[in-house]
Parts: sequence; C-alpha cells; structure tokens
Amino acid sequence: MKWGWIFVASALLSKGQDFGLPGWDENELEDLESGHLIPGSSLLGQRARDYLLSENDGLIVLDPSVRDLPEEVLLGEDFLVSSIDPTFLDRYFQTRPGGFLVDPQQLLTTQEYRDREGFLNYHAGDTAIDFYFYLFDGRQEVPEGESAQRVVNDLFQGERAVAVVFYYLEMPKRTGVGFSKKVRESVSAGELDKILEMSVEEALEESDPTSQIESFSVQFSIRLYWLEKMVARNRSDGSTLDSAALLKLEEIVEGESGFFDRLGDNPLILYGFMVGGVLVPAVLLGILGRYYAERKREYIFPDAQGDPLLGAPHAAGVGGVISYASVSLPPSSQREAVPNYLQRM
Amino acid sequence: MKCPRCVQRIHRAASSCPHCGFTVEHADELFGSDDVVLQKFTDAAGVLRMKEREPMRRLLERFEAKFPQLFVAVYIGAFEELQSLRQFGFWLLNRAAFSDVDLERPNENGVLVVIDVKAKSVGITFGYSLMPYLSEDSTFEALSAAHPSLLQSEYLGALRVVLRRLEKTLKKGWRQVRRNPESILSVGGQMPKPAGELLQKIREGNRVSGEKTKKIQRS
Repeated sequence: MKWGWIFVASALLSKGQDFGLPGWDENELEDLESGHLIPGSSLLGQRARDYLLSENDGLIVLDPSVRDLPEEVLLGEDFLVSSIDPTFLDRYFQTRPGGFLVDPQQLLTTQEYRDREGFLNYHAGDTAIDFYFYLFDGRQEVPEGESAQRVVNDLFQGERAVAVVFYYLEMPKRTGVGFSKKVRESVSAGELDKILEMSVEEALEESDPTSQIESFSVQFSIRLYWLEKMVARNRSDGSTLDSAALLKLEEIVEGESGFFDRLGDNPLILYGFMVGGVLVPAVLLGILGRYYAERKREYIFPDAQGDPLLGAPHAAGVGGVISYASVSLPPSSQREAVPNYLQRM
Repeated sequence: MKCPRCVQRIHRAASSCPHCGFTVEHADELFGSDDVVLQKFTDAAGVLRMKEREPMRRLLERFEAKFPQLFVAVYIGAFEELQSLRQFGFWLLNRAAFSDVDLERPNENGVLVVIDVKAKSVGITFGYSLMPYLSEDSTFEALSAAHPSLLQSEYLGALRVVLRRLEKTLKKGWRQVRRNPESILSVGGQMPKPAGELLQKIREGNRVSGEKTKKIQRS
C-alpha cells in the first residue's frame, strides 16, 4: 500500500513539470539574494511592489477612493411607509387590548406569539407594573398624533401601573414607550429613559428579529422589576423621590400584587398553601408530641396473682440463656437449652 | 413454663418438676437457704469500669421510670463451679433482697440478668408477675441482640440492648393485656388480684434476713 502511494506521488510530480508549474529560475534566485525580489510582494498589488522596490521610507498615501469608507446610507423619509392597514388602527390605538401582546397584523408566527404572550403574562403576575407590548413592522409609522404615551393616557389611565411599548420589528431603535401617571410621578424621567435605552441596547446585540424582541422584552421586564424594587427600597431608606407619589406606587404594589390576593385568586394555590403551611406542620407536631408522650408514658400492668411454682416464693420465670464463648458460632447455636441436670446431679 | 434445671416443660401449678423433681429447696441446697442483701446492680466480677457504673445506674432507673411497678437487677459474677446459670438466677431472684429497690416493686415484678464472665454466658430470670409477658424465647431474642457486644465484653452496651428489647416486649404485652386482660394473664398462670392483697404481698416481698449466703462466689 505504501509503495502504491509513493508511485502515485512520483507520477504526479513528473506530470507537474509537464504542466508548467511555478519553479525558480536562476535570475529570480539572484534577485532574491540581492534583495530585489521580496517574497510575497506579488500579493500586495502593483503599488505596493513599486513602493517596496523603490527603497522609499516614507508613508504610503492611499488614494481617497480606497481610504474613505462608503458613507452610511441614511433612511430617508420615504423609507417609512405608513402602511398600517386602517382595519388595524382601531385595535392598535382605540381599543384597550385584551392581552399584553398587541399584534393584530400577525407579524409574529403563532409559536412566537405564544412565547411572547406567555412571558408577558408571567411578568404581569410577578410585578406590579404591567407591560403592554405593541408590535409594528419596522417600516411602518404610526398615524400622526399617536404614540405609546397617548395610548397609556387614553386607555390605561387611573388603573394599575402600566408601561406601553411601541416596538418596530427589526428596528429596536425606533421603540417608543409610555408610562402611566402613577409611575411617572414616582420615578424620574431619567430613570424611565434609562430603562428604554438599556432594553434597546440589549435587543441590538441580536441579529435575528425574533431574538431582538425576546431580548428587548426580557430586559425591559427585568428593568421594570428592579424599578419596583428601587421604589420600595427608597421608601424604607428615606426616599429621594417624591414621597407622596412614591406612596401611591407602593399602594399599587402592595394592594394589587399581595400574596393573599394571589391566594384568593387561585383556589389551587390556596389549597396548596393550606396543605403545606398548616397540615404538614400539624402532622409533624403530632408526631413530635406523640414521640414525647411515648417517652414520658408509664406502663402500668394489672395486678395479678397465681399459684407458686416449684415452691418458689417470688419467681419461677426461667428465661433464655446464651453463651458468648464462641466468636464464630451464631447466637442461635449458642443457646444453652440443653438439660444439664444429669451433669449436675 | 420450664424447669430451671432440666429445662423441661412443666405445669403452671407444679410444686416440683415432674421430670427431675426440682424445687426451690434444691436450689437452696446449692446456693444457700438464707436471703441475701444485694443492690440491683452488683458487679461481683469487677468487669465494669467506674465510668460505666453511672450510665448503668441511669439505665436501670430509666427502665423503672417507664415501668413504675417493675425493676431490673443485674448480677455480674465469675463463677468457679457454677453448672447452671438458670438455677442460680432462679435462686437469686427468690432469695435476694434488693436494698435499693423500693418496696412497691417486689421480686415478683423483677427481671434479673445474670452474667457469668468466666463461663461466658448470660441468663435472664423474671418474677411471677412478668410471666404473662415474657418467655424463654423473647428473653433469648433480647440476649441474642446483645450478642455482638457480649463477644467484645462490652457489658454496658449489651445490657442497654437487652433492656431496650425487653422494654419493647413488655410494651407489647402491656397493650395486649389492656385489650384482653384475663386471657393474657392466664397464659402466665396468673389472674387479676384484688387490691387489698397487693399491699400484703408487697410487705412480704423484700424481706431481709440477718445471715448472708456465702456460697455466692465473688471473684
């Protein structure tokens, strides 16, 4: 096998010369030794070769057409096409949504929609500030006068603490956000802007539109959660925010997402709480009590009498006798049950 | 019920063994007819270390606290000529006056554990009151459980195991006798006793004689 490979290799080499493969000639070798030929210079282009051979120590001045990068193509006004179908406008801007994810144009696939909706529902159950996510196409523009804040003001005012996000597919930078009055009174505008900024940055780290939405919504949710915590902490530490407004948000937090409220909402959780919180300790206490009672218990036998045996006044109860002379024999084999009266007598 | 000497089954009211004729007088001939004064824990062989004596005392007191009518006595000896541990246990529980056992616990209510460290054997004897609850088999099982400790001459550990097993057996008997007292008591040849006779029996129970038996060899 090895000789076969050697034969093939030598045959190919001999064939290569026939096809004119590159090879050194005497002149090139002399140029190389004299420094006139720089290995690899042919890869740098004619301009570089000339420079290297010219023995010029100055800097290479590149042609502006090569040096300058092409300018970023800015999206013009015509890029944004107000293509929201009028049939969707009502569901976007006039009607309060039934869920936390608003996508009447069905820009997301069914699975993506379910995933995001599930996440937003989870968020709503975990924090005091509801998070409504309106989804638009990246090239769409909302009608004039419409904004996330306008939607909050008209559709969500006077209720729970709410954050509404207008998110544009593949264009996270265009995201707009609006907060309900109670949130804005409790938290500074700078903090709220920071939430949006951090979330957009998180989305831009992804290239896939769906992943961008996921990153944005997760980050926004986390920021809202910490916002809630911050409000609570500031209250206990001596708030730097407006205390009256802060109190309002605290009331929302405590009043609407209280533990016992959740218990009341879900009978299954209530039942689980009763079983886990009441029955289990009760059973454990019962076992512990029984254990201590058993330890303290006195065993009183009924008084009894009987005829004496073998003339013995007090005892004739002959119990077991065991020998432990042998280490190898089991206890049952060392039971001394053999009558020994013959030996004795 | 078995004879302490021939270990043959005998009738519950037998005045002597129908097989070998054994009575308490035969035991008296061997070991002495007078009562002996002992403490409930006697280490005549001197095998228990000083630091083990206090745990042993607590062990016995714990048993007495759980069973206010009963007591356990332990006799550890190194006998030269003892041929039958059963006979010795039978004799000792009938003739001993345990000075540190209160009068409310007569010998009828006692359990005696005798250890012969020379012959390497252990036996259990119990009073009339315990005959419905203990048997040769149950006491042997208690001793068997302590066999590993006995092999290593760890007598305190062995007695701890024995007492734990005996407690378990007695608790079981207590539960049974609560449900059906007459049938359980009749198994041990007993019957419920009127309260008035109990006091008389207690007074007779721990009688002490002036002369001590010298046939108990203590080495």
